[in-house]
Amino acid sequence: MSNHPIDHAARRIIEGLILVIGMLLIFQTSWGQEAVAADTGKTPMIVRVRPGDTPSTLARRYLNDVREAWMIKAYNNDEALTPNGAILIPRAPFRLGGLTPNGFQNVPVLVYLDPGAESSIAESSFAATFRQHMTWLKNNGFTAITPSQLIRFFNYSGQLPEKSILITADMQSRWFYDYMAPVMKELGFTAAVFVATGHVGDNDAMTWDHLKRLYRDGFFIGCRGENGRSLARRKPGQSFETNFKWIEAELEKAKVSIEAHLGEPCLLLAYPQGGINGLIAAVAAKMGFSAAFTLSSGENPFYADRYLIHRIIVDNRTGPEQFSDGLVTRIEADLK
Amino acid sequence: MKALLTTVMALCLLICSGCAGSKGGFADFLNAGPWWQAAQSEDISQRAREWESRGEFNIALQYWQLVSRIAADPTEAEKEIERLRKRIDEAVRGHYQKGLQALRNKQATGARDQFLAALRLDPDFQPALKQIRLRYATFPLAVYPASSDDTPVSVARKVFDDEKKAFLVAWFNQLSVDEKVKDGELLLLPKLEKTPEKTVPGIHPPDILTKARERMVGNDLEGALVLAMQADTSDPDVKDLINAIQLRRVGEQIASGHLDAAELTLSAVPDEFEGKSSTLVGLHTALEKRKFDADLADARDAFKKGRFTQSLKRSERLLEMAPEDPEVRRLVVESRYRAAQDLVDKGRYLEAREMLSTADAAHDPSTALKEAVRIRLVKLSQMHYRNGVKHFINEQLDAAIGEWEKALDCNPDLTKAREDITIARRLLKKIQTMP
Repeated sequence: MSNHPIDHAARRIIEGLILVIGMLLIFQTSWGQEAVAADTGKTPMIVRVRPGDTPSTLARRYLNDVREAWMIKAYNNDEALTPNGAILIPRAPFRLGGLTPNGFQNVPVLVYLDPGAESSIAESSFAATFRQHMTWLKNNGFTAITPSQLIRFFNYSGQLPEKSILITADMQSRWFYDYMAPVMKELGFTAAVFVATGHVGDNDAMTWDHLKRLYRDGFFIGCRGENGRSLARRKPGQSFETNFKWIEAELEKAKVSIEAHLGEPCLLLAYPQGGINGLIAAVAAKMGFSAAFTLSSGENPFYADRYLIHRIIVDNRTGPEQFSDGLVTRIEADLK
Repeated sequence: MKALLTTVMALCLLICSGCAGSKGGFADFLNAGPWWQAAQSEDISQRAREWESRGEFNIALQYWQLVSRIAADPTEAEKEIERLRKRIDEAVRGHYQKGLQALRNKQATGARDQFLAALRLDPDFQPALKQIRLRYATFPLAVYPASSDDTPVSVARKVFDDEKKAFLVAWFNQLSVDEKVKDGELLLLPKLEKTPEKTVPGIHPPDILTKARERMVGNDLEGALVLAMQADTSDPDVKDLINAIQLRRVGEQIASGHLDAAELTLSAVPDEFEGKSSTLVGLHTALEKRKFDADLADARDAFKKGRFTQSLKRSERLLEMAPEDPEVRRLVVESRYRAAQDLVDKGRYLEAREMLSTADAAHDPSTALKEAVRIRLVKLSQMHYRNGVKHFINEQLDAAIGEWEKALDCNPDLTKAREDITIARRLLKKIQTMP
């Protein structure tokens, strides 16, 4: 290379140009996609769809959770993904409470009750009906949410898939472990099971080992008191104070027992036999339960009382039509 | 020239470091970088207009906010954002006022729908949320401000019209029945069916906050939370207090190992709240430790039940995560030894040798077993070699090759077996090519 002053100047100019272009490139990089990513607000992220991408792969890549695929679909108005097309990824819930111009979300909560010894229902019939119910839910696009998701929905801090449902069971018998849990696992569903802790391990009942395995498999264990007797029924002649102490002991013992066996706080309560009054709900709230379930039917919008969650009772006499009719996921209202 | 090359290399490094950490790295930067994003702004603007035409102003606004970031010229987007914000603001105020009017006209459902419509347009509009929570969602506990000389007995008389219910006042507030309550103390009371609706006259929000803070200092986090929730939750101070209480609860839940509950509690705290990110890191560490402990317990359980191969696989995975953990290392060594011993007992010497190939040389039983397996395999190789020779003499070349291969598997150092295999194969080839 010559040392001619013109060559030297040309080299300096080229170096300068490369430097400027490089700095611009770096600036553009940080100004573009990554700047959006660093934003903690509600502005969505724009991404280019790669060949073979689905809402699930995008959810895994950008939201770190494949179960959030529905959010990407809903945020893009269910538009089909086209390779190299633009898709928007929401960074935060965009429809809290499931509020839309035509109404708001309702979360149906199903409850399966223990058929009990008096029932003449054959086990195979129960298993077949339960599978029918669950298959219907799967085929009709329902998502079985967790109790934690429901609580976040009630707290107005979490958004749920449009067709969300919570499956619960007030059951002691092994039927839940033997028939219901395997079907739900197969279909990718979860559920909360409520037990009366004083009867865990009874004849034909689930044991603590069963409950621990269910818990480890992603099911949720709540309590129905220690003995499973209605807390709203006062014995004849029993004083108000004695009755209160019995209610407290029933809930306290059940809570402590579950916590001791599972090593996690017992946050869910199903009022035994659905018996409920203001005092029982207040005791449940003060004792640290996060949610409590009744046996009465009704709506569960986001502003519902967490200590009076309504449930729909289903059993093996609930036919497909009756079953589907009860599952209302939207409450119509003019919110335009 | 040297200086030029140095500059180019430095630039390459800078560009690469600029792209590091992006989801798709440099390829994404080229394919979906600022230029590509800017080219999409027209399409996104169109989608924003569609959302607006469907009445989804909030989503439309978020779309426009994105356009303002990616467009080469954000002027139009900025105008649209301003227009939409104004439109949302007016609509929200209108719905809220109509809701209040409906309440005055005792139209509960109409009022609810107006408040919900306001919330739909602006999810952060606290006055509407407060109305919804206050009027359409009940909470089983009420707050009662105690006056001077109040005791649980006097409160029970005033609120429940029944002195015998003093024990309830005491239980819900961790007091004894005859304990004197401090003036201004806020008591939590159950809403009994006969309890008058208005049990909280004249509470001023600052009082509630002070009391909630006092309970927080006294470590009664549940009580503090209930009190703080009774205050005006649209007030930033109240929000901060609630979040601070929740973070304290998360800390306690992590410390007591109640990690699922901690995860749930933490989800109620906004991401931007100070201290959440560090708490989240602590929670993730605790969750990872719990998983590690559970996996270790599984591995130990498999070992106790005699499922040594399973125990080995699990403990080896754990060792990759914690190579320095002596407990895991011991479990790996013991599991490998016992699994290999099982294989030896079943006569599966080759698999035993494979398993012991990575055995810890410092573990004497493993070393001894390894040597025993080696000796046994040498003997087996000699047996197979002899069998091969017998087949060769009987002109059964395929069978001979099979036996010698087995001999080699048992003892790869048996060179004569390898040589004989070559000879036998050559012979076989000749036989096959003979006319």
